[in-house]
Amino acid sequence: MHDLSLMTESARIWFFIGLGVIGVAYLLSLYFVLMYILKVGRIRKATSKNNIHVLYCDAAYFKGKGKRKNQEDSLYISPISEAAHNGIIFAVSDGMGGLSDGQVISRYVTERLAEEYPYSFEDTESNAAVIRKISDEVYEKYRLGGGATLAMIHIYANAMNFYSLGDSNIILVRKGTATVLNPKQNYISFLVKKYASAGDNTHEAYINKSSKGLMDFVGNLNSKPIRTRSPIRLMEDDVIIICSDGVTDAIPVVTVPRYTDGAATAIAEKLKLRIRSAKRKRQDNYTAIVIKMDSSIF
Amino acid sequence: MIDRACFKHKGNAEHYCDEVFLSESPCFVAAVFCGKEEYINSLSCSFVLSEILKDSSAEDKLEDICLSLEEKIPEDVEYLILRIDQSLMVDSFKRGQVRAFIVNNGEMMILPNGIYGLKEGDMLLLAVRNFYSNLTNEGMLSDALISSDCNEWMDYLVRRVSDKTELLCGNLSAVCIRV
Repeated sequence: MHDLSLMTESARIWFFIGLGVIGVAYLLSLYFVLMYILKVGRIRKATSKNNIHVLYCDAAYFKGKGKRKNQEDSLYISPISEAAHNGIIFAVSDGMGGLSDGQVISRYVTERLAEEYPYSFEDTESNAAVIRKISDEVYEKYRLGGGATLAMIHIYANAMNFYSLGDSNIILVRKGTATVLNPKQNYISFLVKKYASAGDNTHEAYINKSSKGLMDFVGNLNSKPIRTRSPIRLMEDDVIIICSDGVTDAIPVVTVPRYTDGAATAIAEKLKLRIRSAKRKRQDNYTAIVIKMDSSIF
Repeated sequence: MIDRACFKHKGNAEHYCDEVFLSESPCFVAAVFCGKEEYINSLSCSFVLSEILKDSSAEDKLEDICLSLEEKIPEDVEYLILRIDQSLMVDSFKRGQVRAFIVNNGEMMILPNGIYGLKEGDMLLLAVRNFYSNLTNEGMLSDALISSDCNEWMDYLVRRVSDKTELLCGNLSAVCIRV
């Protein structure tokens, strides 16, 4: 130990200066350590707050004429830039074969859907009314001489509403199982109800020549679009395929999960290849939008 | 107010051996009983079930009702009983493969055994295996969400079962309920 009384005046000054410097350095280091801990805490807190698995849509589409002269399918995808506020709409319309102007009508349907954008996610009744209005407009022009089907989905915040008129498909592939979500509005439904309520089997409903005839479609007066009253919750890795019947005629729905590995583009490629390789003699127009729900941390 | 619809069909079996029981007073009770052709007395089993449920009161514990039922029917007979009280609490008891599904918040799941709280708008499906094994959860769910009432939901479900089996798959029994 140094005896301060034995130190010279200047040495004593230097000693106290040194002591002060050490003290200041100690306090500064304490301050920085404390600030670091607080900052890291804030970052961690912010990360955990935002660490919710927000699903986003990975989408791709494909279309082809098949063996038909014209492409009578049409599709619509709402602006991606609006997706955060209004959700995103995917729609496929299929001009009805055998009736005139299928190509014009399906395009008219998707163009009118685009004009009516944005759609309320909650008010599915109003959105169905918009579809009914478009159907009435087609009726006014063609008087049942032409029509189209419509399959449309609205995705917003990990949930999905859907709308349907006719027999196009909205397929959900979840955990390796494919399900067509929207019932087909054809004569089979009527016959099944009739036979089932009589206690009979429904075999006759499927062999009836006119059973696949549509009972409702875009172009019917005062049509009744099928709509979800409340949304379906979507899950990570769900694959949604909105397609015309040209796709499901070539690929049985139960086999669809075989093609749903990978990103939406890869799924679309595989499905298109499958349709082409089937080389069906009467391949109808085919159109599909493929959406894969994926996770992302923002 | 509980909306409901019921479907009973013998399928390709010789007889309809299942039974569906519905009662609204004093509280809502639905029961689906899966009979079997091999039991000569399966029709009387369903009768026993109906009689016991008719005689039960709201104060009787569902467990006790099921205990008295167990004494009177063969061991491997399958059934599901569900009771909804005024406070929208559902109590259910099942034996075997008869199942109840619940549609809630955009999802469908199997209703657990025991007491479970419901809320307005929840939908339930009670069905025997022949019926629900021809459906996917996603199909049952989407049909529920597009339907304005239980009859419509049941029609959609029957169409799906028909698309797969043409209703040639043994007895078919189901009940749709909307709270």
